[in-house]
Amino acid sequence: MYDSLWKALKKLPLLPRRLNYAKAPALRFLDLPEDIVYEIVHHLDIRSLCNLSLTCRQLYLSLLIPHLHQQKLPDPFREIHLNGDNCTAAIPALRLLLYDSPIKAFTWRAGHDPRTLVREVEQLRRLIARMSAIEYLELDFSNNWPANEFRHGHENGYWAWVRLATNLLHVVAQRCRVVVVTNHYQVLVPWVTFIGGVPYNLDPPLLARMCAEWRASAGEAEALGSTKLMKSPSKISLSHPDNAPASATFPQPFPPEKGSTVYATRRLIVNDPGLFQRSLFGEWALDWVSNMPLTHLVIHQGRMRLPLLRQLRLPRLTSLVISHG
Amino acid sequence: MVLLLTSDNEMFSVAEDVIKRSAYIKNMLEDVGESDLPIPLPNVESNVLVKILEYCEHYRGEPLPASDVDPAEIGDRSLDIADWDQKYMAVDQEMLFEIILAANYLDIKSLLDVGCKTVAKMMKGKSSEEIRTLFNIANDFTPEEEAQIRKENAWAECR
Repeated sequence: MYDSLWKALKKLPLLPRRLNYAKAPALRFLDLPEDIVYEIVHHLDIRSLCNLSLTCRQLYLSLLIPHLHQQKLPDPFREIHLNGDNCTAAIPALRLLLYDSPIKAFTWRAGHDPRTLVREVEQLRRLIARMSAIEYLELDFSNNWPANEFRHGHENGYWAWVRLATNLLHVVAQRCRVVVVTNHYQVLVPWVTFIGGVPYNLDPPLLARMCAEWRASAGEAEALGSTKLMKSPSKISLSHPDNAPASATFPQPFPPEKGSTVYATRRLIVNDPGLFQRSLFGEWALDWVSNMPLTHLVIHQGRMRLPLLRQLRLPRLTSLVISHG
Repeated sequence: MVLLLTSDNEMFSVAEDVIKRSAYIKNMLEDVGESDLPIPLPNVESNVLVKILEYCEHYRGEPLPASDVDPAEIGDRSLDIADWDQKYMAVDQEMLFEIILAANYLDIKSLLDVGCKTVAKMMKGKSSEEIRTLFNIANDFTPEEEAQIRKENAWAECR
């Protein structure tokens, strides 16, 4: 009986045909040689490249690192150096990497175009938040000097920007052990503290020497340890100050939660500290710095008198420099 | 005329000025000189060669691109494709990849560039999931890995 059934089945023409239709295509995208895949990827924008790299393990491993090499980041798990030229193309790819060990050095210099600054800073915050720790971080806003469009914005846009920047500083303090912030005042409180002229920082050779020393000693002293990381205190607005509708209102920046936020920054250089000048933002900045377990602090006061600095409470401080212009 | 022998043993007789768009064949003809022997193309099947010859025939008489100029090197990242090329590339995915591989093997840079642009254009603006579906790519990330990569990473929304 089974024999006759089998013979009858074999005569049916549909079965093999169906099997043929179900056959996977002989040649698929993943079968293409690597050099052709790179050739294809070469035509993609960064967003599409990242989406492609997230489709499977093979593409994740083979696309992101070569792309970062092209962006002059040969070892993104150890050192990251971003400037206006490679920021846009590098940060989205960097944000897809998994950082298991601390980054040795991370430098960021704002691009020349102030219009991209808001986006860059927000992406930077998200990137730093993905990292377990950074031993040396340098943020340099010099390229955006003078950020005219912020000075001529309106109040709501200003608060949106301040929230964005304070969120960045909050994450920075959580993750980074040695921090150097250059020319931030014209970006953070530009209306109030703009004094015209050129950036008014520490003597550049002195700053460079100090950074080199700190950078070299980063990691030698205290181990980064298991720092308890807190969530950013507020959700930021992505609105560009110029684009924020006049009717929009943005709450003022949160101060970091006292006693509960654990910061990692042990050494800090702040150039041109307009950060401490405006009354409300100055309070935030005081908490920001006072919450750090700082052992070394350099504040370049420039031509401003900053009475708020007297309120800093830093019990572990062993070295303090407040310089004047 | 030049004789070409495909991997499935089909012989093609092609005008020299047509097939010289292939730098591989052009160099071979210059090296070997005139010969009655067919040039074997073990990596190209007849149905693909037909398509390749259609392309070469269409651009017959047009100046050959300098062989040492790579479109990638001159920074041509645009996804602009000529109308005729778009129609020419309106084939199924398998044939599209076969054309790209053959263009690479035969060293026809302009065709390779059009093929790569066509694939890039198919990917542009699509999510990972859409690209997977389109190109039959299996998601082999573990759920944990995927969650870790995507954690705090809604970068696509951050414009």
